[in-house]
Amino acid sequence: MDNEYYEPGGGNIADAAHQHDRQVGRTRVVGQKKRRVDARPLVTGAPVYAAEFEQPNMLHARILHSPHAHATILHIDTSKALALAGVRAVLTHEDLPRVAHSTAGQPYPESSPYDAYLLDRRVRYVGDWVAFVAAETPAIAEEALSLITVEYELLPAVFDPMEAMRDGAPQLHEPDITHPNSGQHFGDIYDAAHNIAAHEVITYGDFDSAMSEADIVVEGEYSVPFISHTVLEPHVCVAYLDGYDRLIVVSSTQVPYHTRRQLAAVLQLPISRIRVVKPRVGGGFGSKQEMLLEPVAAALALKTRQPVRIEYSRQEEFTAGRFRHPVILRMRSGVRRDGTLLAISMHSIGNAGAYGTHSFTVTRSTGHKTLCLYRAKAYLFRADAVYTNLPITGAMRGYGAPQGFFALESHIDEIARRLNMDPLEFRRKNHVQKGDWDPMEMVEEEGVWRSKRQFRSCGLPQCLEKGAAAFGWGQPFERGDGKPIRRGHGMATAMQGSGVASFELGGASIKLNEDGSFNVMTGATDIGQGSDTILAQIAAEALGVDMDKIIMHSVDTDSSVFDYGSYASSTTYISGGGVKVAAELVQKQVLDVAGDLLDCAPEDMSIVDSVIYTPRGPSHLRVADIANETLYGKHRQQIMAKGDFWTDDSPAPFFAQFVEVEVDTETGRVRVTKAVNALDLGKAINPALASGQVEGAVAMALGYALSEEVKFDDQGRVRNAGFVDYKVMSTLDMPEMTTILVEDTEYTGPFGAKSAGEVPTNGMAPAVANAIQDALGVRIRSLPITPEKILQALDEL
Amino acid sequence: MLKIAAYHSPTTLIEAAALLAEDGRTAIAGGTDLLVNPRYMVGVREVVDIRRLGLNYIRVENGWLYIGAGATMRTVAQRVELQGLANGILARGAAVCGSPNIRNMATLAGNIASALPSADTPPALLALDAEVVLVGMRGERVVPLDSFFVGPAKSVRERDLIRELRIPLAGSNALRGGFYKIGRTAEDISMVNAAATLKIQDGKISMARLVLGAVAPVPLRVSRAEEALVGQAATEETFQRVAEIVRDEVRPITDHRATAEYRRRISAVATVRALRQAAGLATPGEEWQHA
Amino acid sequence: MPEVDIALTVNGRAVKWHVEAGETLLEALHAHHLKGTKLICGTGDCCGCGVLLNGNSINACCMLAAQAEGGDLLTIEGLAQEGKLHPIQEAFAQEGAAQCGYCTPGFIMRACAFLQEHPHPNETEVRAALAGNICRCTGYVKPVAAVLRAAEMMHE
Ligand SMILES: Cc1cc2nc3c(=O)[nH]c(=O)nc-3n(C[C@@H](O)[C@@H](O)[C@H](O)COP(=O)(O)OP(=O)(O)OC[C@H]3O[C@@H](n4cnc5c(N)ncnc54)[C@H](O)[C@@H]3O)c2cc1C
Ligand code: FES
Ligand code: FES
Repeated sequence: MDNEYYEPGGGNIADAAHQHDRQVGRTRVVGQKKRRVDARPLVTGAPVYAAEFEQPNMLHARILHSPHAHATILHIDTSKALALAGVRAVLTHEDLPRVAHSTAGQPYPESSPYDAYLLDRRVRYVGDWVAFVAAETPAIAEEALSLITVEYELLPAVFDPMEAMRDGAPQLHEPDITHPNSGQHFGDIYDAAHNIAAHEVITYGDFDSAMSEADIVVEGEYSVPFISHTVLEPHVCVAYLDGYDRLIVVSSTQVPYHTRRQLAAVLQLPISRIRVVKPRVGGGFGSKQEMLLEPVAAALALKTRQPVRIEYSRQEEFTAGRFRHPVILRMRSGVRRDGTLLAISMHSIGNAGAYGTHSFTVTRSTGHKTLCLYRAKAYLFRADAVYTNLPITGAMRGYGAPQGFFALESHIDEIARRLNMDPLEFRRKNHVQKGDWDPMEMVEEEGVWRSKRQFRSCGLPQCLEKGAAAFGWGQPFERGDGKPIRRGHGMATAMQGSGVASFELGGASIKLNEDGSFNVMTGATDIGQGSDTILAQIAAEALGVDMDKIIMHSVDTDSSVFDYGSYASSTTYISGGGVKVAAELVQKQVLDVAGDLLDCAPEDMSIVDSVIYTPRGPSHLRVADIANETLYGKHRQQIMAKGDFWTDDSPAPFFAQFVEVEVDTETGRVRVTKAVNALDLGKAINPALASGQVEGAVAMALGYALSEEVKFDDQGRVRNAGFVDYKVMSTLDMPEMTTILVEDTEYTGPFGAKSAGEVPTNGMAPAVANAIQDALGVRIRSLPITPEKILQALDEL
Repeated sequence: MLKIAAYHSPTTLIEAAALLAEDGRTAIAGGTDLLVNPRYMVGVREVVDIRRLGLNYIRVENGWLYIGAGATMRTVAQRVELQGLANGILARGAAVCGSPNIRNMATLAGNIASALPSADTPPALLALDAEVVLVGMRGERVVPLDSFFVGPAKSVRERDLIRELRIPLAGSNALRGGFYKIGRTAEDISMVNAAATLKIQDGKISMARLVLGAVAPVPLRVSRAEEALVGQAATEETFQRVAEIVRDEVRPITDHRATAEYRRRISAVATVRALRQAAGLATPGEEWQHA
Repeated sequence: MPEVDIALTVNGRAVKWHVEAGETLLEALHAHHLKGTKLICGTGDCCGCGVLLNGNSINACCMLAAQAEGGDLLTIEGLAQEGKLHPIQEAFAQEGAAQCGYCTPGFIMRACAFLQEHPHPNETEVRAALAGNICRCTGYVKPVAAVLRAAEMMHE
C-alpha cells in the first residue's frame, strides 16, 4: 500500500541504532517539566537584556536611513550635525573601510554573497543605511540626523523579482565584488546582471519519465508574503572598550561567535581584540542570526572611545530590520490513480530584497527541507533568490520551509481531492518512512550517487494517528451549510532538520566547584527558547545531579566554548550533544577520584542525585566530597572537561497539524477555532518548554496564514510599519489548542532528542488553506488569506 | 518623547480654555492619539492636560446623559446607565476601542476630538443623537455631533475644549440599538463599523438612525437608508434592501487596511447585522463579533 | 528641554522626579533605572510597557510622565515582596509562561489589575483581559494558564 517506488540510497537503519550508547532509559531530570533557569529574573523585570545594559558615559547612536529605494550618494554634509552640542561623532561611507561582507550569521565562509558594506556610496532600499551618529542623548542624536544633508542621484528601482530578472532591469550589485578572500569560491553573486543572488537546482530520478507514467498531473502556483519576525526586543547592543583596550560588544544576538568574526573583518580588527557577550535575549526567530547593529556601535565606540548604545525602534524593525523571503512557488506533480505519488516538482522564486543575506540557503531550503516529506520516483527543484530594492529578507524560523510547505501541503491537498482521497490517507500512503533515505541529499562518491541522510527516526505515523484521534478527523461536524458561517477541517504535515548537516559545532565546558555544583559554559545561545534550561537538564542528567547543581552562563566569546549559535533548530541536538559529551567526561573524572577513594573500578560506579554509587549501593561520598578532595585534598586537580558535537547529519522532527476553521462568507473573515498540533521531537527534554515552542510556532504560523504582511507603496516604502497595521495574533485570535508530543527516539541525539523549534511553524498556513477549501470549496493559493481574497474566490465560484 | 516646550495642568475650565486659546497649544487627555500619531502634534509646542478639571463624570440630569471629557472608554463601557441605553451600543463601541490598557487611558471625548473616520464611538454617539458641549474663550457652545465632523481629523471644534458629550434621554426607553464592528483581527482598528438605533411601533419602524464608520471622510449618517427604514416592517428583507442603499451611499477609500470595494461590501454586512440587533433578530454575541 | 518636577509614589516609595515636559512615563521609568517595564512598540499597541497607575493598568509609553503627578505607580519591580514572588509571578514561572520574557512584565501587570477586579475568572475572561498584550513566543497558551493558576493561588 505504501508508495513502493521510492528507493533512494540504501543502508541499514540498525547501523545507526547500534552506535547509540543505549543510555536512553529512565531519566531523572531529562523529560521533566523543570522550571526555567532564568525564570525569576524574567518574571521580576530584572535588567538582564542587552536593552538594559548601561555603561558610564554611554553615548546613544542613531542611523540615518535612505528615503530612496535606489540612489547614489553624491555628497553628504555632516558639518551642521557635528556642530550640534552633544554630538560626538558622525560617520559616513567616507569614514569607513569598504569591506565586502555578508551579514548572515553563518559559519565561515558564509554561503551568502558578499554584497554588503557597512556604509556604501549607493543605497539600495528605503531604509538602507547612510550615516551613523553618536551623541550624548538619544534626542540629540535624532536631531543630528535631521541636520545631515545628503545629495542623492536617483537610480531606477525594481521591486518585483520577475522584472528584476529581465534584461536591462536596474542592476543592484556589481558582479566583481572584491572581498578580503577574493579568489576563493564563495561570496559570489550567482548572476549579478540579472539580479539573481542565488540559484539552486536539486534533482533526483528521471522527472520526465516518471511524469509520463502519471494518470493525473496536478499543477498550481502559490505565493507567500513578505513578513516580519516582530521580535519583541528589537535589535540592540552596546559597544565599549575595556581595561585592555579591547572592544566589548554586549548584544542581543543569536550568533555571538559569527558576529565576532564578522565584526573583526568589517572593522579590520584582529578577532583577539573583540569580545561578544550575549545576555538574555528577548526573542530572535532568525532576525538576530545576523550581524546588524554591532558594527555601528563598535565603529562609533572606536571613534569616540566612549561606550555606545544603539537600539532599533519598532519603526526601524519594520523598515530596516530583517524579514522572511516572499516567494512565488510553482508546483507540478504526477500521481497514479491509486494515489501513488510519482514525481514532484517545485520551482520557487524568492525576493531577497536589497542584499543577499541567507538568500542561497533559505531559497535552497524551500525545496530541500520540504520535498523529502514524500516518497516519489523523481524530484525536481529549481530556485532563484532575486535582488530587488526592498528591505532585506533573511533567516526566519523555519528558514524557507514555511514557504515551501505552504505550497507543498496545499498542493498535496489538491492532489488528494483530485483523486477523491482523504488527504490524511494520501499522506499516509506517500509520506517518508523510518529508514528511508533523503532524495534531496544525494552526493556522488566514486561515481556512485547515494543519499547521505537517513531518517532513522520518524514519528510521523504516530503524529497522524494521535493527532487525528484528538482532533476527530473524519468525524461528522456541523458544517453550517447554507448559513453565512461555514466550517471546514484541514490538515498538513511537515518536517525540518536538527541543525545544518556538516555545518555545526557546539558544546560546552563543564567545571566542578567545591560545593558539588558545576559551571556549564556553553556557546549555545538562549534567545528565549530556553536552551539554557534544556542544556542544564542534559548536563544534570548526564552528571547524575539535580538541576540546582548546574550553573548556566550566558554566552561570552571569551569564556564559552565555541558554538555556531542558535538557529536551524540546533541547540538541543548539536549543543546538547556537546554538553552531554562534556558531562560524561566530567563524570568520569569524578568517578576516577571516587573509585580511588572507595577502591572500586570507576566503570562500575555511578552518580545518582549527587551521591556516588558503587555496585553495593550508595556510598558515603557525594560529588561535593570529591570536589573538596580534588581542590584541597590529595587528588589535587580541577575537574573539568569540554565536549563538542558536530555531525554530517540532521535528523528530522516531524509534525502534523489539524485545524477547524470558521469562515464568515459575508465578510470573508476566517477564524481558526480548533487546532491539534502533533510533534515528533525524538525526546522532550523538557515537555513544558517543548510544548511552548509548538504553541508559539503555531501562533506565528497562524499570523502567516491570515494576517501578516509587510506592505509597500510604489516607491518601496513600508506602509504598515507598526503593530497597529501589521497584525499579529492576539489571545482572542487563537484557537483552542491541543499539543501532542510524540517521542520517536533519535539514537544520535542527546537522550534521543531531535528538535522542536521550527517544524511547528510549517503546518498552520497550508492546513488553514485546506480547511477553507473544505468549508467553501474554494482554493486560496496566496498568503495571507485575507477576507478580500475569500470573497473574491467565492465570487468566482 | 514629545518635542514640547511646556506642559500645563490647569485645574479650572476657565484656565484651561484660556491656555488653549493660544497658538501652538493642544489638549492632552489619555494621550493615546496624541503620543502615538504625529499628525496631532503638527505645530504644537505646548500641551494642556485636561484631566484635572473634574470632568470624569457620567451623570443623568434633566433628561440628558452627560459624559465628561475625563471619562475613559473603560468607564463608558462599564456604566450601567450606558449599558441600558439602546442595547448598550455606546458602551459596546467603547468596549472595542483598543485593548484594556488603552481603554483605561483613552477618553470618549478624545475619540471625538481626534475625529478619525474609523473611530468606534462616533457611530453609536451619532445614532444616539449626541451633542458636543464645547468651551472656549467665547464661552460655551453646543454643537450637534451631526455637524461636528468636517473631515479626517478635522472638526468644527477649532481651539475649543470638549467639556462633555450629552445624549438626550427623552423617549430613549423605546430606543433599540445595534452595533457591529469588522476588523482584520479580533483587536483592531475598524475596517468598517456600524451603529443603528430604531424605534419600532406595531412591528413598523417609526424612527431610524444608521451610522457607519471608516467608509467616508467622516462618520457617515446614511439618511437615505434611514428614510427607507421608516414605515417599514423590521424584517430581514427590509434590512437587506437598506443594506443595498448603504452600499451605494458609502464613499470608502482604499488604504492598507482594506480596499474601497471591500469596504463597500462589508458596509452592507455591518448594516444588516447592526439592524438585526436593533430589531431583536439577533443578539450581539450571536454573529461573531471580532471584538 | 524644559523640565517639570513631579511627586508620586513608585512601588510604595514616595519619589520626586525631575522629568522633561515631553518625556513619556516609560522614558522616565527607564531614566530612573526601572527598566523592567519594556519599550517594545512605543505606540500603545503591545501593552509591553504596562504598569498600574492608581490601580489601573495602562501603557506607560503613551502618557506623559508629567501626567503621573500625584499618582500611585506600581511596576513589575514592585510586585515581589521582600524577595518573595507575587503569586502571578510564581505562576508565570511555574507554567513556563515566560519564554524570552520580554512581554512578561506587561502580561503580569495586566493580570495584576485584572485579577484584582475579577478574582475568579474563567478562561474566556482571561483571554479578553490579555487581548492587547502581544507575545510572539508562547502562542498565549501558557500565559493564559498562568493567570488562571495565579487566580487559584491567590485564594489558597
Ligand atoms: C493601541 C491603540 C488602539 C486603539 N484602538 C482604537 C479602536 O479600536 N477604536 C477607536 O475608536 N480608537 C482606537 N484608538 C484610538 C483611541 O484610543 C483614541 O481615539 C482615544 O479615544 C483618544 O482619547 P485620548 O483621551 O487618548 O486623547 P488624546 O490622545 O489625549 O488626544 C487626542 C486628540 O484630541 C484632542 N483632545 C482630547 N481631549 C480633548 C478635549 N476634551 N477637548 C478638545 N480636544 C481634546 C487632543 O488635543 C488631541 O489632538 C486606539 C489607540 C491606540 C493607541
Ligand atoms: S511599548 Fe507601550 S504599548 Fe508597546
Ligand atoms: S515570551 Fe517572548 S514575547 Fe512573550
